[in-house]
Amino acid sequence: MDTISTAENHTEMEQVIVAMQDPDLGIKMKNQRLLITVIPHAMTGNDIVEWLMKKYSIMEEEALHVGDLLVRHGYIYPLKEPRNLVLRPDESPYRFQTPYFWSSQQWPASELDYAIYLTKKNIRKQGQLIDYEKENYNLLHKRINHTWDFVVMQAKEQLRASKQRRKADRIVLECQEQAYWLINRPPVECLTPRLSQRDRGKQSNTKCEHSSRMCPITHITKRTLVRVSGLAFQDGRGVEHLKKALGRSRVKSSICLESFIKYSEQYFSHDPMMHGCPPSNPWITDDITHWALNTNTVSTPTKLRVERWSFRFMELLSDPLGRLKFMEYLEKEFSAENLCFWEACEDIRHGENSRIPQKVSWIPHRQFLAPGASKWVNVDSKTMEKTLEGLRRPNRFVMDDAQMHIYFLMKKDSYPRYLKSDLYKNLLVKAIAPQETKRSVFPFMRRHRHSSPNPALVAQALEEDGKAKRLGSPRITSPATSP
Amino acid sequence: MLEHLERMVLLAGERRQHECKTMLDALNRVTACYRHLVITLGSTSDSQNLREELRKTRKKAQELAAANRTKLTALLKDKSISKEDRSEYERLWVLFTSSMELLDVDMKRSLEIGQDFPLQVPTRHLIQTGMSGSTTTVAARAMSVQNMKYEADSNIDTADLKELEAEIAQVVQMMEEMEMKVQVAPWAVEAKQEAGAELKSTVSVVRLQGDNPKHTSCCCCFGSFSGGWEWWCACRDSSVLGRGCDRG
Repeated sequence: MDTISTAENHTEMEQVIVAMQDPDLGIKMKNQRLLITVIPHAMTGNDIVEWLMKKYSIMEEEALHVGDLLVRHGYIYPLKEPRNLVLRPDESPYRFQTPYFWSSQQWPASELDYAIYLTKKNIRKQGQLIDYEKENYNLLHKRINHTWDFVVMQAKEQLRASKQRRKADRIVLECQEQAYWLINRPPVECLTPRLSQRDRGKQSNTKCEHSSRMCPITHITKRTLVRVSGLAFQDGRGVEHLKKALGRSRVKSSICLESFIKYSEQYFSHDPMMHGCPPSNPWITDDITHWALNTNTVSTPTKLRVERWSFRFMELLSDPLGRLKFMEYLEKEFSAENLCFWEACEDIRHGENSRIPQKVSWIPHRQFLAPGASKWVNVDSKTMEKTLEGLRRPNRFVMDDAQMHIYFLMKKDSYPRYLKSDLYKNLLVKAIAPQETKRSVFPFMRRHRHSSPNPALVAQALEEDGKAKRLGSPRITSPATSP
Repeated sequence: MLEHLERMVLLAGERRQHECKTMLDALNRVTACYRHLVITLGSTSDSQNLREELRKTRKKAQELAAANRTKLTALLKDKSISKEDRSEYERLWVLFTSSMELLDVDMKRSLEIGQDFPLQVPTRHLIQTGMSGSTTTVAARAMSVQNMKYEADSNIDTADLKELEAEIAQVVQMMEEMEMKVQVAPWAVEAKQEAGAELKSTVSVVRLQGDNPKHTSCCCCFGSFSGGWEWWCACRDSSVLGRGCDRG
């Protein structure tokens, strides 16, 4: 059984506990005598170990370990020395904990309950609480002050209700509660007994960094941290990992939600679901005008499309038509090599693995990056060094740094100029804004359906077309028509 | 004459508050008893009787919860009450929601444990926790009766679970509605009790500020809220409307 406490392990432990209750095969209970009261259902540590050994056919050491886990997770509690939550394989008495107080991740111990418990204890002991309990009490009084009156009310009522029970049951109830809270709010000196650790020796390594007087909240966080780090890594690496995680920058949700809203507003009219696709959604009306108007080779792009290019640089670059128009502009400005370089890097990044060395060898090095190259790009020296170094062992991502540098260069410099340029403005003016076709009144009326042409026939027709063209014009070898 | 009328209005307000507090007290009592009963679930002292006690206590709790909620919501929605009154009702509201929190969790747990430990299945053994007595008196206290009467069938442990599920859903819904309808900021409420106040007295009724030491042992009196007002005793002796209570 794992030392880490998870839901599955809890279920396993519960099964063991239930098995122990078997009237024939379970542990034989004895009575506990306290002066004049006799309380049933007590067993010794020895009983537990022996039963485990017999039931699961395991060695004593393993049985001791399992039994110890049961105690540390609160399924069994010691009757003598209740603060020492270990299993002693001798005549020390133990008792089973009631299911309500079993450890459960679904029902974590609440602050309200703890406050009520401490208040009850305060009343019973007439103000004589232990140090750490007193501290917790005061802290809770501050933290849940708004409901403190309820805490007092409920504590008093719970005490009155327990007076209705016989003395033996009252004692048992007090022991149960005490055991529960010793597990869920352990005193600071003994680190949580639920730490995952292979051997007790490691306990000293995971000492608290704060002084012994810690407020429950940091104690809980520390405990959870240690438990979590114990889950992730067995040695001290866990704490390092978590420290790094704490250092990561985080954006306030109010800020990132603002940008999310801006984004949604900007793209609202471009979203086919929210705003429809002019002239009509081909999937619904079987009219493919929308697609025809938005191909990569169309001469006049639609208004929406051209608008989108102004939203962000990546929009422009990821649209092939946009990239084409941008290239046209750059050629006029004699700064097209940046875009060419970027495209070449993209090609390396997304292209075939086997052709990378070939591409890498002559496109960037000779054409772009070497001084005096035909299409020299302005990359800073540090990135240049790094790239040239990486080119010795070319892989898909070797051009990433340089590509990123050029991308930002274009974004800051060429892109804004392009958006202000006449070329772009003309495109915007000439752009088509197709009208939305009137929707039929009964959208579910039977439409005249027509099947799309057979792809095989289409391919054949293209081939014949190609042949006819070749006969009439100089021979052009193209892969589509070669035999 | 006008003064007399003003007094009557103020007394009516006090009476309303007193009613609220009594009802809250009752709910608090039932919540505490329910907690005791749920703790016994799954142990060897679990029995059909316990399940019936749980069911009856639960139903009583729900009645009280509904009554409290209606009253408090009406009072909090009333725009005509004074600021002090309102802050007092807000405090009572927080007490009410805390009580409901506990009840909600306990109901869910009793469903879980009740399902895990059905009474008729011989292979699912009950846990020997050391509790041996019955919880009849606890349940009787919750129901405010002398003795409990057991009238359920022998399969209540399984039959009740479905009802319990439905009631939990009701409670959850009610709590959600409450949060929507009533605008109370719980953190703005200040407790009247200081730390360790429970050690000073064993009075059952919720105390207010301006504690009159003469009244510490009287379990039926409570002081007034705005300082300087006269004490009056909620005991049957309605003629006592002056300072101090003779029973103190």
